[in-house]
Formats: sequence, C-alpha cells, structure tokens
Amino acid sequence: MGVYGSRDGLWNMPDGVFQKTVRMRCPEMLLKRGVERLKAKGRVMEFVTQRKAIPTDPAWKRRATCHYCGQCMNGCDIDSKYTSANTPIPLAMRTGNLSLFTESTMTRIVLDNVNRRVRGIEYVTSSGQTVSLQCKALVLACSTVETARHLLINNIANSSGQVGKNLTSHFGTDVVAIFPELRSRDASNDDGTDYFHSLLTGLHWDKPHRDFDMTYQVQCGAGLNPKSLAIRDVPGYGSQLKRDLRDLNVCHAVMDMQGSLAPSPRTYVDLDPERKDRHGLPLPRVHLKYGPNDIAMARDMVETCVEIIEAAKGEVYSRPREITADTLGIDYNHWVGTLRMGTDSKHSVVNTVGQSHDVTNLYVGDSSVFAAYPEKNPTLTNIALSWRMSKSLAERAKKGELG
Amino acid sequence: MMERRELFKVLGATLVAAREGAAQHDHGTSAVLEIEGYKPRFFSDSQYRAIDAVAEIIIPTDSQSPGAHSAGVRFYIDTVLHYADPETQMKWKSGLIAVDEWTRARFGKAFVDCSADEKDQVVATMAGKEKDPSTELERFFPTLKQMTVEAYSLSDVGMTQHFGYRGNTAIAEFRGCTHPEHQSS
Repeated sequence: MGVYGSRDGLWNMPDGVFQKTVRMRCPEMLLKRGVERLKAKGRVMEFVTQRKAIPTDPAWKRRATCHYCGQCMNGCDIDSKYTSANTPIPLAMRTGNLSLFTESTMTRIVLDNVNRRVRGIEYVTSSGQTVSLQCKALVLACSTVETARHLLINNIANSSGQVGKNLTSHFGTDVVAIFPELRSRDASNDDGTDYFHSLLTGLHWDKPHRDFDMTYQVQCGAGLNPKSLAIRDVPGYGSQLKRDLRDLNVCHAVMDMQGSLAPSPRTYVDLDPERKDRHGLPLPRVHLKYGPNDIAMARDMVETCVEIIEAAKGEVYSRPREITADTLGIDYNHWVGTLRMGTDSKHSVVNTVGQSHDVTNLYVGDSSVFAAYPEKNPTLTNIALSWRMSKSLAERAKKGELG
Repeated sequence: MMERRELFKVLGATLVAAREGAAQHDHGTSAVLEIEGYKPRFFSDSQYRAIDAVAEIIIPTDSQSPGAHSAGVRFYIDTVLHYADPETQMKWKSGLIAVDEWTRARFGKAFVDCSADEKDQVVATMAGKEKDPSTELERFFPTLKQMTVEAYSLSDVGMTQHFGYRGNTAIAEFRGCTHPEHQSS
C-alpha cells in the first residue's frame, strides 16, 4: 500500500512496514520537547511523526514518490497519496473486469426473498432513465450514513434492528501554540505532506482517566501557508498586522483533538419522514448528542495541550474559553458504525468479512462496519477491512458459491 | 455553471504566480492578469477606488513589503463579490454607504475625496471596536479586513514578497526541522 512512518515501538500504535518518514517542522519539534519534559516527570504520552499512505521511497515503484507540494487533500496530482478513486479503482479498471457507471444513483435493491439473496439493483442515470442490473453479489460502499440509508429504504438486512444504530465519529476542539523563539526561522516551504505531520498519542491507554472512558489523540501541525493561513484572525491593521500575520504563522502550531465519541442510543441515523431526494427517496437524518463523557474528555485535552505548550516554553495563542456541548465540533469525514460487524446475528448487521447475516450475497465495504472506534484515523483500517471483505468474496466466487 | 468556472479560472490565475521553475512542475495556470486595466463588475468606479484605498491602509506598503494596492487586492474583492450571494453583496454595499455617511458628516465629502489623513481617521474609527462592533461602520471592518487579508495572502505579492513563501512546488526531500537545538534527545 505504501505507507510512510517511523517505527516508534508503541504498543497502542503497532509498527508496520514503513517507508522513510516525513519529518516535523520546528514548532512541532518544540511540542515534542514539551512532551518529553512531561514524560520525564512521569506523565504517560507520546509524540511521534504521523503515518500516511504516501510513498516516500523512490525505489518503491508501485506509485509515484511524493514531491511534498502539500496538496494531499486537494487531489494529489501524481496519485502518490492512496485514495479509493485514484489508486485501487484505476488498477481494477486495467483488469478489464470493471465498468464504472458515473452520474448514476441507485434507487432500489431488488431481493429474491425466497433465497434471501440480492437479485440486482435499479439505478437512475443523469438523464433520468431507470435501468436494471442483475448481480451475483452486491457490495455497498456508499459511506456510513448513505449505506445505512439504502438498507433502511429497502428495509433489508435488518433482522438485528441495528441498521443505522451505533453511529459514531471523532469530535474535538483545538488549542493553538506560538513559539516566539521561532519567529525568524526559515518557513519558505513548510508544505510537506499537508498540514499535520505529528501526533500526540498514548494518553490514558495504560489506565482510564477518572472522569471519562476511552481516549483521544491530537493531530499537530505547523507551517506558514499563505494559501490558507492557520492564524488569520489577528487584531489591528497596518504594518503591525502585516508583521503579526507573518510572525504568528511562522511560529505557530495547532493541536487538533480527535476524541472517541461513545456510541449511544442518542447517536444514530434514520430516515426523514418528510424530506425526500429528487428520486422521491427519504433523506437520512443524523442524530448526534454530546454527553458528559465527551465534555470531560475535551476538557482534559485542553488542559493537557496547555501543559505541553508551557513545558515547551511556548505560549498559548488560543484555546476554547469553556467546553460545552455547543463548543465541540464533529468530524463529518469520520463517521463510522451504522452497520456494525459481529459474530452474533442478533446484535450485529454484518459478519467479520463484511457479509450481511441476513442476505448472503450482500456485502458492505465501507467504515459503517466498525464495531468499535478508537481515537485513530479510520481510513487505513477501513481499507484493510474492505480488503478482507474482497478476498472472502473472491474466494466464494471461485468456489462457485455465488451462483 | 459557466460563471463558476470563470471564477475559478480568475482566482486560480491570481493565486498562482508565474515563477521561474514553475514550468517544470506547474500546479495551475500561470496566466498573469492585467489588473491595471480591469473594470470593476461589482463596485462602481468610485467604490472600487475606495476599496483600494481602505485595503492599502489595512495592509500598507512599508519597509517589509509592498501592500494591498500593489497586490491587486481590490481586483480580488470585486471578483469574489461579483459572484457572491445577495446577502454578502448587500453587506458590502451598506458598509460602503456607512463609510461615506461618516465622512460626509465629519468632513463634508465622500470617502474617496478625503485626504490621506482623513482616510486614516475613518479606518481608525472603524477598527476601534474590532472585538465588539456596534455601529454599521464598526461591523463593516471585520468583513473588509478578512477579505483584504485573504486577497493579500493569495496574491503573488503577498505570498512571495511578504510571506516569503516558496512552496507549492516539487522537491526531492522534505527536510523539516534539522536544528540540533530543537531536538528533544
């Protein structure tokens, strides 16, 4: 897959086969210094370089080597960064066995109820034409909210009653540091592999915090980027404003929390009884509530980050004034868990290879199958689970089990 | 759709500077726009001159670097507002009216006709309660400043001459921090 990172030997973040790591910028190194000082006093935490699915070793030929232009999240122009659209799909197309129907929307899953099998689907093209497709197996990978929505609309694969339930994501807030000693450092090209190069991790893994369950990680980033200034809300005007904008951005670091949001009966996806899409299908509703556990976790994050910044001899430039349910933000890219995986068909929607317990040729290939959600970024786990699903599906096809 | 595409093209052209070496690895169009001959599409001619003058006070040419005028901030703001939603457009129109009302009450003339010193007084008044604006004039300042800062940062002048940015390019290795004094161990 081509992942870079450093072998940190952390038990909460196992090492893999990594390509050459991409180093932190100076402000991130100073955060690390703060962490090391707190560790010397007995605190348990780690500060490491991030791991990303971006090849950095030119000898590895399966994808282009990164050229550190910083545009990872805007569509990598040389397809160095692994993404579904640019990495596995073009590979699959080269086999000649994949047809893509773009600008088409699935509107119905057609079931053969006698055999508990999917017979096919109907979809609508961009010109409004309804088309039927037959299939041996159907894999849904429409993302957490939308995959659950399709199963709810078609009322299938839900004997457990768990479709749409157990929705969770990452939530958080952020703390910004400045290091005046770095005001004159060379910040002419901080692009790297996009903003976050470092990670605060390992918090509350040895034993839980007394005020909350689970834990969080903190992605840290730094760097002067005039295309999207990290610090732009600077008071005043004139020459002082100009100077401050440059100096603050050169010497700042952002600490961005990713907390585990506990799944609860108050966090789920269902169908809107009123609002429909242009095909007349109900739109999904996302229900989300923060509880005392989340607020306590966010408070701990802010306190910990402030301690690190102070130990590193930096200054806290901004922090949330108070943590309430209203000041927390959800990560809309990180939803998981509406079709959880499990061995018991009474309490889960799919089995451990992403196959529906109820409909034997229906598979789910996205992050809705997560049964639990740690604080870590979901994409590579999501890909690993989809990979396992694909292997199992291919084996069944070879054995002729799909008919 | 055509309009959106045009906006991206125009903004892309201001965003990306035509620089030496860009040809080797070009991340966007390197068209250089002729800002001097540009005729505003959202602002009137006098409003356009007013925006140019206010932006230059917020981000002046000084010993550090050229300011908002040289960077073509007025052009960026006019282009964005030309395509903006009616609510945003109205905010700018009424903000400019508030500026003119203030200068007429104080100096008996429109903002563009004021002396440099009088213009400075207007901006000082506008910026007086940045954190807690209460009048129409004070409320206009954050809007004005935010887009001025954005336009300046995205311009070739701001990006390269003021911020000293040399990125958005292909390099063989990202060095990161190698300073011995910043390492922890």
